[in-house]
Amino acid sequence: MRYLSIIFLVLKKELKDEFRRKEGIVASFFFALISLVLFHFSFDSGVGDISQSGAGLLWLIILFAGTLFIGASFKKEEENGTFYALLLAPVDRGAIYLAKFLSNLILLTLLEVFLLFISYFFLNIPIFNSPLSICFVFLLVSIGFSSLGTLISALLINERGSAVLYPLLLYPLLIPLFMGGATLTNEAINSKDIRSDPWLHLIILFDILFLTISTLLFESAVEE
Amino acid sequence: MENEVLVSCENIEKSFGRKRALKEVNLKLYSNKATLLLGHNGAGKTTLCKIVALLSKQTKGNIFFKGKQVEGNVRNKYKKAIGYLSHSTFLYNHFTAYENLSFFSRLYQVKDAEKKIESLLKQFDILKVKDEVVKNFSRGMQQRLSLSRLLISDPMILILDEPFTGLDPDGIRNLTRYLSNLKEGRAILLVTHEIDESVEICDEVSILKNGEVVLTSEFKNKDEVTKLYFDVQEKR
Repeated sequence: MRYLSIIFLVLKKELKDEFRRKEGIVASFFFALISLVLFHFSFDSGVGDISQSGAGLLWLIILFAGTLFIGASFKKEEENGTFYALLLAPVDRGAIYLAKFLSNLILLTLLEVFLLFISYFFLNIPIFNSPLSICFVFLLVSIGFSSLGTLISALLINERGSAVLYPLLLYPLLIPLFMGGATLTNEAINSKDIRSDPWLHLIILFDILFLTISTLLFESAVEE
Repeated sequence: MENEVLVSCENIEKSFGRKRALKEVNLKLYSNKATLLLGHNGAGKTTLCKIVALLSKQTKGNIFFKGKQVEGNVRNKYKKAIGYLSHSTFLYNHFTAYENLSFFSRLYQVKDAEKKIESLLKQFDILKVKDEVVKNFSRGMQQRLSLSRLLISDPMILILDEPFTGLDPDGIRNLTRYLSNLKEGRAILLVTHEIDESVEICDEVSILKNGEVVLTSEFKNKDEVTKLYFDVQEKR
């Protein structure tokens, strides 16, 4: 019970802090919107076929826009040393990690809902062909992205040049996750059954592996 | 007043790669007693503070809390007993004074938290601004709120790592006054270069030189501390 209440307490603090700062959210939503507008005009001028590449574009925007706040989730705790304040508390540090992970997952979900609706109108991506499958794929990929992104953000908190190191470390590890996400989204858009797709199994495995490892490793990862 | 050993650091070593930041450091912190930790820049003072506060893990050596090694169940009890104050305020800038204290009181499972928060805000003269966000506070107000944050869990071991940094003379005087009143029942480890103020708070001095505690001694006044410090620096 104590573990869960700590997760809830830190999660509430995280979301309140994020919505008051606004920096990460505004930057990522703005980036997502601008990217969609640019893609809209590119495809309007006949550069390519949106029905073939729409899913890939969506995941590309999510990757970059999500990095803007997930990458900062621990970096912002450097301000006034609040990261140390969290570590000093007599609580399981795994609970702090899970709260940060959930906070990033919620923000990522909000970003994706926003993106999906806008892309439906701007790029005419038929997301309502199989909405349940699409939601399921987006949730699974977001879990993996958020779990790994949060851990790497914590690992780099005291490192110089972390803004450069963060994408260099994170993006190569996310390749299978996003490849799977784009493939499954494409299949869902084209009303195909994704349940037996090997990409789905790979993404589920990725989520379980990284969420478990990150929670267990967090304690030693943040100790200097 | 009886002085019980609350914290005992035995043969603490810390290396960063090839660099040995701390070498077989032994340090005891007693209840009702404040220890001043002096040393030149890079001597290892902050590293030692972080190890005592479990923010950093020692390469070798052990920490004991009331005679028991800090591991397993003792670790959590020890963490509850530790309070850490530094030049960083450990406060959330976008939260109000009250929200900050409320968050930390829940993190530390403080009983009667509301009463305690009100009383601390009153004690440190920030009750009137309790609903204002911290980023609008002056440095002195932030440090007073930081002190309230430190005391909300009523810790019996206080690690104070350069708490006077960035404060104006009034702020330093006020903080010295507050800290002097905190000794009863507590062990204090104070790291600072402000010798004038620290002699008002501390009973003994430990001097770190190149990662080693080269001297621990009681003192009577500021001149004695200064002499001890420079004697140590000139030797070896």
